[in-house]
Order: sequence, then C-alpha cells, then structure tokens
Amino acid sequence: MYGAWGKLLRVDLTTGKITTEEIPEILFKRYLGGNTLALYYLLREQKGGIDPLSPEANLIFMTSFVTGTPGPGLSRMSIVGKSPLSGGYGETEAGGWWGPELKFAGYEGIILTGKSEKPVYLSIKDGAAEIKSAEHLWGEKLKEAHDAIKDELEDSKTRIALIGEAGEKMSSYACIINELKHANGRLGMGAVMGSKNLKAIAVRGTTQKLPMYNEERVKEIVKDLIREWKEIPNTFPKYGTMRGVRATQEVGVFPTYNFQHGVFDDFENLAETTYMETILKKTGTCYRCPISCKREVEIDDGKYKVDPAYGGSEYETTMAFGSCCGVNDLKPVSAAHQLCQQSGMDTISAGVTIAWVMECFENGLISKDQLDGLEMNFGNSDNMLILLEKMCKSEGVGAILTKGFKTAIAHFGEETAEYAIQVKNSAFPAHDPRGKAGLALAYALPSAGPDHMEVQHDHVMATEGGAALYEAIGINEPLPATDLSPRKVRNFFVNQSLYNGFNAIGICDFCVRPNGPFTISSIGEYMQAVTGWESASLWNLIKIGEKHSTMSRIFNLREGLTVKDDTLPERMFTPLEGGGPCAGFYIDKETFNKAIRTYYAINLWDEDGVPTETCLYQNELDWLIGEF
Amino acid sequence: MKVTVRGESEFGLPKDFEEVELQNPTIESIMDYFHVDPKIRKHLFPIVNSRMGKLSQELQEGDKVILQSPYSGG
Repeated sequence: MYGAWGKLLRVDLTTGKITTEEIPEILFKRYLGGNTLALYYLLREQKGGIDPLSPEANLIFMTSFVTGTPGPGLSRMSIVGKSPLSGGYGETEAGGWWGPELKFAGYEGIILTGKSEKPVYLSIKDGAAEIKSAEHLWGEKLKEAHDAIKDELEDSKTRIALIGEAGEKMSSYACIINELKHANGRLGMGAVMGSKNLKAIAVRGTTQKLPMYNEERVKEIVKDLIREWKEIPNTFPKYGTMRGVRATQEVGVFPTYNFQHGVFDDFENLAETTYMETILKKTGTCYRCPISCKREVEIDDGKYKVDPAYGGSEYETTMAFGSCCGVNDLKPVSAAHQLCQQSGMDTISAGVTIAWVMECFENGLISKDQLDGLEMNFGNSDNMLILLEKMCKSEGVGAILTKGFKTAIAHFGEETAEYAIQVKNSAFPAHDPRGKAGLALAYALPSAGPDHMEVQHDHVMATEGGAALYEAIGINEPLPATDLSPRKVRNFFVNQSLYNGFNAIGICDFCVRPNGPFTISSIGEYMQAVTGWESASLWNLIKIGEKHSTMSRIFNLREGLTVKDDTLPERMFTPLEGGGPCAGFYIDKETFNKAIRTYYAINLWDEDGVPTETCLYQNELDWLIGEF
Repeated sequence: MKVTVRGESEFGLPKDFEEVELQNPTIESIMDYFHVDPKIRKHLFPIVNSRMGKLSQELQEGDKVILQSPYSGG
C-alpha cells in the first residue's frame, strides 16, 4: 500500500495488552479513514446501550492514507466514540501535529478499550507502544503534564494529546487537546478518555517516511495549488478565524446575549483588528499548512495573565465568552480560553452554557443562591470566569453545568429549557441559523449534534464565486442564504457528504477554497497520486461521505435517538431581535420540517429518518441489516 | 450619484465608510472604482443599507454598501 501502513494499534487498558492489527486495503477503499473508518470499527465492535464512561466503551483515534503527506492541511485526525453528552454518536476532529506524527510512528489509528486501574499514559515511538504511569500527572494542568511527558520521554519532538482536569473528572464538556492548542473539542470525548484513567497519548516517529505511489506528481500538485492560491487575494492568513467576528456581525448572525440578537454593539472590541493590535503575540500553524491561521496571545497586565503556550481564542471561543455572554473585552475572553485549555474543556459548550445561565438569571429563573452566590448578569466577565473555573474543576454549581443542558435544566427547573440553545444536548456554535438556513440543517441533523463545520456556509454559497467552487460536486448555482427549499436541502446533502469525506481523509476545511489551496477537484487527483488507487477519487469521497451520514444515523438509532432529536430550539422559530440585516428573520417551522423530511428522502431513509434496506445496499452497508 | 462604501482593505476597498460619486452606481462599478481584483469579485457578498444585497443590484443615492468576503468556520 502507498500512503497507508494499514496498521491499527489496539490497547486494552484493563489488561495492559497491546496488539497491532492489519487494516486491510479494502477498508480504506470502502471507508477512506478518519471519521468513517473509525465509525466502521465502532459499529462493529461496540453494542448499543453501553455506558460511554464504562470500560466497555471504545475510544478510537483515526487518521487516513493522506495524513502526513505533503499536501496542505492534511494534519487532522478524528476521535470517535459514544458521547456522554448526547448519548449518541460522538465525533470530533482536530488539526495540529499529532495526527501526522501518529502516521510517522507507524499507525493509522488506535482503538482503546477497558480501563486502567491507575492513571496512565500511552507512548508510541517508531512502532513500539508502551503504557506508562501517569499518577504523578493526574490533576496537573495541561502544560505541566505536557512538559513533564516530553521530559520523561527525552524527545521534544514527541507530540502529545492530553486531557486535563475536566476529562479526569469526566465532565461531559471535556475535550482532548494536542500540543496545548489543538482541541478535539466537542461531545465530551475527553470524559471517555478520563473514564479509562488515560491521561495522554504521546506519539513519535523518527524514521518513517510515508511511501507514495507517485511522489513527484504529489509534489507537483502541491506546488501548483499553492502557486495558484497565492495569486488570489485572501484575508484568512492575516486574520485567521478572527475575521469571523466582523463578517458575522455585518450580516447580522453574530450570536449575542445567548442568541437573542445577531449583532453586538461592542463587536469592534472583539474584532480581528483589536485582536492584532492588543493581544496577538504571533501566529501559528498546523503540519504543512501555508495559511497559519492559529493565534498565540499574551497578556500580563496585573489582572489577566495569559500564556501564549495555549494559543489564543478562535472565533468560536470569542463568540462563546464574548458576545454570547455580553462581554466586550478580549482580555477576559482570552482568560476564559486559557482556563478551558488548562483543564481541557470545550469552549463552545462552556461559553454557551454560561450565556444560558446569564439569561435565566436575568429573567429571575435562577437565583444567586443557586449559583454559589454569583450574580450572573450578561457582561459580568469577572463572574463569568469564576463560574467557568467551577465548571473546569466540576465544583459546586459548576459540576451540574458541565453535565450538559439536560442535567442543568432538570436541576434548575423546566422553565429554563426554552433558553437552552442546544440540539442533542450540545450547544450551538457561533453562527445564528436564522440568517444561514443551511446551517439550520447543519445544527438539527448531524448525528454528532450541531456542527458549524458540517457544510460550507450559506453566504459563501450565495455568491457566484462561492457556488462555482463546488461545481465539481454538482452545485451549479448560488442560492440565497435564507433559502430552505428542496434545492437547498439537496445542495446541503451534497455539501455535507463532501465535508464528511474531508473528515474521512483528515483534510482541514480551511485548506480548501475559498480559504486554502486545494480545489475540490484536485483532492481526488491528489489522493490518487498518493495511493495509486482508482477508488481514491472525488466521487468515492462524496459517496463515502454519504455512507458516513447513514452509519452515524444507525449508531444513534441503536442508542435510542430518533426523529424527535432532529430539531432546533424554539428560539430559532421566532424572529431574531436587535438590529442588523437579519433582524426579524426566523426559521419557518413548516418549511423546516419539510426540509428535514426531504433530507431523509434524499438519503433513502424513511419518514422517521430510519435508513431503508435500499439505502444500506446503495451504501454497501448491507452488513448492518438487522443491526438496528 | 453618491453612495458610501466600505469593505476589506486587502481587496482595495476602504476600511471605513467612504463616499464615492458614480454615474450609475452598481456594485460592479464600485468594484471598478476601487480596482478590486477580478479574481475576488464574484466571492464578495454585498450588504446594502443593512440588508442582504446582490452583486447585480442597482443602487440609489445615499446607499450604504458593505462588500465582504463571507466567513464560514470556527
């Protein structure tokens, strides 16, 4: 094989047994890698109904046959398992350096089962894997644990994926962070790792060179792509995701005061220019990425001390602890980001939960006494940080809040439910779908909960240039951002399949046009140059993306999630308040329900979103007949 | 006719609202005026008087136009 070793590491943390297993070539051709290959193993090996925090639960890390090759943005890896937050399918991606290093260390993926009696970490170096004690690291902040492991392994080029206190305490908002900056953030996969007493996975490959079918062609493709990309004006490298603040504010979908408004009066305080002028120390990047969209910030002004080792807040985090909480200052936003990184907590979930608390507090539904004495008005950044710290440590009221909205609502009262901006118990990301109708589907439908990276966004697809980028997958015209017609649903389906495919091969969405060098059609050519496989085509990537939607659907059906979970909070069906171009916009419920049914039909699922036998045959998933 | 325009300075557009006088102002003529690179034009999304606009839109006296490259992501 080229590009892939075809090697999977199995680690049973109960017994300490470590084995290496072959991944047959046919599995790469059927599932590519990343999220879909991981899901294949999860569906085969884990029964429905298992407690995600039990030793019987699997936790799977997976890359693909192009991870670590020279193409831009081929750095991402997927972590898959059952989510303790949603009770359904958990999938989360991250970039950085860990994924490629796992490949260099000789593996595409790792399947973890069982539970270690005591805290441990896994070290993989040049094909050899070892379980080592992490008792001295348990309870340490991320940087301290990270540095200690590198010192112990005596190799500064080791790449480490870790959990922090949030994961150790099995918070449903716990994430797994590699190299202190790159988070597999959503759905509580850090809690699954913590439930196994696994602190970290350290990977290092010193000698492996990835074999490619046509290495010269690979390099030629990369060179041409980057040259052509540099000829087009682009603000993404300069501002990174922080350009999102101004862009979403201008179209009026910048979530503000817990998604009550779509514009924030003080948005300039949070915008990319203020970020660059006041707190940015330098930019950073992922493996082989020419964009360098990562930010590193430094603050030391007596009140806030923020270490650039943890990177800096991206757009989502800035929304979550900024406009969503009514906070108009990047310093407490950055401090919040750091707290989350230090303890391994998902910033989106934490920030949007705090915003919910704020709205409930201001409406008299949650009292100061119930919040350990904290007055949680919008804009109170000091108390936002105190409450966040409690959440990170799972202390006091924080322990309730990090179990997710369902637990918090049960605790504080049903009347708080209408203010919870979540689907499948997972908080909304930083774009109000009342102004981006395709995102309404991206929040309601995915098995892994609301996901702003599920598809390309509506305003891009509403421009001639944006739509033209997707001609290769049969999108032939721009559609208005607020359109939710069957044609938009069809375009959503095709786009979603593409993005699922991206996660199967581990390519960063930002490295694809309009932001990055890859064109859609060049992805197939690149994969074929790496592998020499005819099946490594754009067409097959899309089909496998479709397959992923059905596979993850089946996972959720087995866990008891149904059509009732494919919905939106009531607020989305009411007019967006405040000013801006989307003021007054709302999702029409009847149109939305029709769109959901249309999506099911396009997928060959029945009216209740259950995949038909035809669907399973179409997707080569007949091995799942009778399994749900 | 006079309209005011702002956008991303990296594309040649004024960062703050700037008044321009054009014969028959359209989004296209605004982009001509500011010498916006042809490669990026079709990717820009217009917001006119705080409402969603279209590239083909004709403008009126006093219109306020924002031209932005839309954002998607995290």
